[in-house]
Order: sequence, then structure tokens, then C-alpha cells
Amino acid sequence: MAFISHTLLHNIVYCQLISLPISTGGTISPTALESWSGSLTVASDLRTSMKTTTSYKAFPKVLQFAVGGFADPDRGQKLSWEAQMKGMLEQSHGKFAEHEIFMFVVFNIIQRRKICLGAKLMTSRANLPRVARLLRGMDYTSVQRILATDIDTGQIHTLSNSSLRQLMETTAIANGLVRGSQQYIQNRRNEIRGLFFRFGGPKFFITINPDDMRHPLVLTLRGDVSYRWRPIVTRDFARYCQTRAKLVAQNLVLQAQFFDRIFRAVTDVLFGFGRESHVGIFGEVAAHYDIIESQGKGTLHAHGLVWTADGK
Amino acid sequence: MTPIIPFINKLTSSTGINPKEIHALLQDNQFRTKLIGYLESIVKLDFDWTDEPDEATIYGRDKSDHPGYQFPDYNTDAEPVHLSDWTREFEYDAKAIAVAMQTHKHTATCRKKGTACLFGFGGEGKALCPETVVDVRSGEISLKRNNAFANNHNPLIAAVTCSNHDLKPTFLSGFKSLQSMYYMTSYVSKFEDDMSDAVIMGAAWSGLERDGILLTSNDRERLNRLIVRLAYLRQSSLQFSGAQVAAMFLGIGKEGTHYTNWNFSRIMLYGFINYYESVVDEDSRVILTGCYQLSF
Repeated sequence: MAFISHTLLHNIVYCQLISLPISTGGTISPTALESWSGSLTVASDLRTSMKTTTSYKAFPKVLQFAVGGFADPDRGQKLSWEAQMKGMLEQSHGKFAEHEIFMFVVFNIIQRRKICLGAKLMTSRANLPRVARLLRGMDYTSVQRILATDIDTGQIHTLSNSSLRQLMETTAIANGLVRGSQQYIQNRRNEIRGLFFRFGGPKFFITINPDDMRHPLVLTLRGDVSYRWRPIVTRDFARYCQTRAKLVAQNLVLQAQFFDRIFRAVTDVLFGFGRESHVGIFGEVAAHYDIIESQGKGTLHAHGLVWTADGK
Repeated sequence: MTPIIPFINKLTSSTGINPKEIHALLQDNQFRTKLIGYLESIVKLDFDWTDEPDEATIYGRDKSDHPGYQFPDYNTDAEPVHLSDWTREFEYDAKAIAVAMQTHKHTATCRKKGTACLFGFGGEGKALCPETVVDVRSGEISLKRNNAFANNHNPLIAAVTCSNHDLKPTFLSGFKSLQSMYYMTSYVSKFEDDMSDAVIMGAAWSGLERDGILLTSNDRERLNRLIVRLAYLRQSSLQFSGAQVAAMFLGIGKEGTHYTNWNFSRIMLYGFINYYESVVDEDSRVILTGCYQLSF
């Protein structure tokens, strides 16, 4: 009986969830997400309390039996949220991968945890005493008041209070754990610099932009090994394209897996990084470094640098 | 941006062959011919690398019949396969894909900032170049181009990815290498960052006051919370596409954000130097002149 009432609650919450404005495939901003999930008490519980039961209540469509949620006490071995999400998204039935916001909400929670874990104010060594003095001398309530008047008078870019201005000038917020943050990008640049030092200047700049609307591999990743689609391709091409577009837009995990396969085929086989001899279309190669980016419609592409082995 | 200056110096004296050395080598006739041959075999600027099919055939066929939509089927298990047959069929497919994907067609993107094409294909397209020319003095190489609207491409990559790609040699200019590094690292995430720092600061303070955090007497704690709040506001403007989020969860490549075949570890340079100086000799000094001082 208790279980039934539980499920009922799930369904109510879920009805609220699916009525939210959701666009899949495009970019999604965590702030917008927060405002959606914040309108739901259960989802916002998930954000703050991290209790296992709240994830069941927030996502009854994917966790309908109230087992196997995050940090489940019945699980013998502890599993991180990241590891569990990876497992869930790779499931062949695609229930987790195709959920409208499940992945985004969990990503948002993890991203926020990382912000709390590694937030730092950064300044140069020479500025350190000055920053410490400024922070110690700061009167919080008056700063609040000054900022409010500055916003009103439109002076916000110049800041009328000098000590506050100095503080903003001398510090930067850094967090190398948050993927996509300035510090994270800086870390990536440092690694590329490391390769510059080791191997000299890169020899080729490449851009690989796999097309998930065209390549047959997308269908194979969905289990179409016997060319079930082939007759449709020739009979009704417009419908085929439409169905494909829908398939790809619904399943973001499929997009990522497809990109990974193609990109690794290019680097490991064509460039030769997967071979023992390291010989590919550029000759013998030594290193590559590629950054994954997304374009307007949300699909992935990568820019990369390739270093060849010298003197060969 | 201070690290750039010693860094450029570094490019001219590193382990690999550097742009300056290549410029010097370009004077040598034999080297030049070899380099041209190497580049021409990799980067193509026209579709003359195979005869079949011609453009009329590619565009004349039904779209659903295009090789880009199917796995290649070269009948490899029927009889002893001849390499020449296989190559012919492969090149046929590769060319069909390359012509469809690597021919520049003007779109809204390429004319975003004015009327001329951003990628230099304005008017009659790019100037043709019957054979590869090397300017010995400047070290600039203009590759052979027989098609005014062809993008840089490679037949093999075209066949594998079934889509457009780009391929540029960067070894002739240290500046170009750096430029491409900055280009590729600046778009990891999209920023919606039109708010100034001050607005963020103000919002942080008001948030702190609303939550009653300002009432704590412990300075250290208060500061910690302030920083977390600031970081929250700043970093909640990061945007990722759905596929990027999926990539990060799946952990493709390294952390779902980049690929590389090397592992990196960080060292605290100053801590390391201090330690080294204290261990070796009290009066010793480590002078950093190049990377070799550190690799032992």
C-alpha cells in the first residue's frame, strides 16, 4: 500500500516535470534549469538534500521502482554519482539517455558540488598582502549599499568605491575542477604548452566535424546491424532523414558515442596513434591534443594539433 | 599574457625541427621537392586526385544513393580481391563524399560580418594555383589548387568521417601554431558573460545578506562563503550543449572535454627548486634557462 501511494506521488511530480519548457539538442543553461527545477519542491530537495529518495520522487519515469538511485543504502559497494551516471547512460534501452532533463539536473548538481569544492580567489604573490588588507577592511553592509546605488546610477562598470574596485582588479575567481571554467581552459593550455616544449611547434592543425545526420554508424550504434534502414533510405528519403534527425535529437548520448567512435577512428587508425609503429597519413606521429567543442545545433566537433616525430 | 614571450623564444630552440630551421632548409632544392611532395600527398585543394566520378555524376545521382549514407560495400569476400579494384572503388566513394562536403557553399555564417565571404571564397572563389609554389624568402607555401571552391581536405578523412573537416599545416610559422592553440581553447564552453564583475559582486553580497550569512562573526568562514557564492554566480553562466554533457558523463577522451595520447602531471616549480637547493647544497642556486635543466 505504501508503495502505491509512493508511485502516485511520483506521477504527480512527473506531470509537473513534463509540462516544463524543455528543448533537447540545443544548448541548455544551468540557470534556466535551476529555475525549472527550483519551481518543483522535490527537484530542489534533490539539489540540496541529496537524499536517495528524492531522486526517486523527482524522476519516476526512469527510477519507477524506487531502486538503484544515487547513493542507495542497499548497494554493497559505494559508487560515485559520475560512475553511476555513466553506467545509466550507457544502458542499451536508452531510458536514462533519452529522458528530457534527467542528465542535465544531475550534471548541474555535480557541477555545483565542484564549484563549492574548489572555489578560490586568485591573485599574484605580490598583490597578496594588499588583497588581504582589502578583504579585512571590507565592511559588508556598506559595500552592499554602495553597489546598490552604483547599479541605480549606472556607475557599475567603474565602481565608486575605491577599495572594492581594487579588490575586483587584483583578484580572479579560479576553479580548475569546473569543466569549461577559465582555470580549466588555462590548465588545458598549459598541457598544450608542455607538448610544445617537448616536441616543438605542432605540424598540423585539424578540424574533425563528424556528421551525425549522414553517417550510417549512428544507426548501427542503435542496434541496426542488418541494414533494416536501407530500404527506407531509397523508398522515402525525406522520411528517412526526418526519422534520423529525431533519433539523434532525442538521444544525446548517441551523439557523443558516435563522435567518439569517428574521432578515435581518425586519430588511432588514420593518424596512426593506435598502431605500434605510430605511422599514419602524416608519417610517424608523436602527439596529438584535441579539444571537443559544440556548435550551434549542439553536435560535437574537435579542433586539434598534431605533432609528427621529427627527422622521419 | 606574459608567458607568450619566453614561449615564442622557446619555439626557436626546442627539440623538434622549428620554423626557422625549416626556412633555412627550404633553400635546399632536394628538401623543397620532398616537402612539396609530402604536403601535396596529405592536403588536397582540388578533386583531381582521382578521375572517377566527375561532378555531374555525383550531383546527378539520387541523394539517397550517395555513398555518405551507407557503409562501403566493396564485395571483398566474393573472390580474391585486387588492390587496384579496391582502391578504385574506395576513391570513387571518397571523391563523391569530398565533393559534396568540401566544396564551399556560401551560407549565412560565412557572410556574418558584412557582404564578403569570411573564408575568402568571395567572387569567383580562390585564385587557382597550377602547381605548388614555395616562396623561399618568406617561407610561405601555396599549395596546388585546381578548384576555386574546394576546402582543404584529405580523401581518407573524408571517407571515414563522411563529413567536412579541415587540415592545415602549421609548422612554417610559430605564430600560426600559437594562434591555433588559442583558437581551439577559447570555445570549450559558451559564456553568457555580459555581466560585469561588479554586478556579480553585488548579487553575491545581497545573496549573503538574504541568507543571513553576513551575521557570522567568523571572518574566515564568511570569506569562504563569499568566494563560493561568487564562483557560483560566475560559473552558472557557463553553457554546454546536451551532447557535451553526455560526452562528459561518458568520459570520452580525457574527462569528456579533450583527447590526447599523453599523460600530464603537474609540479610545483618553486617548491621543487627550493627543495633541490636545500638538498644539494646550501649555497646552490637553480637557474632556469631551458627545459633540460628540469628533466633529470
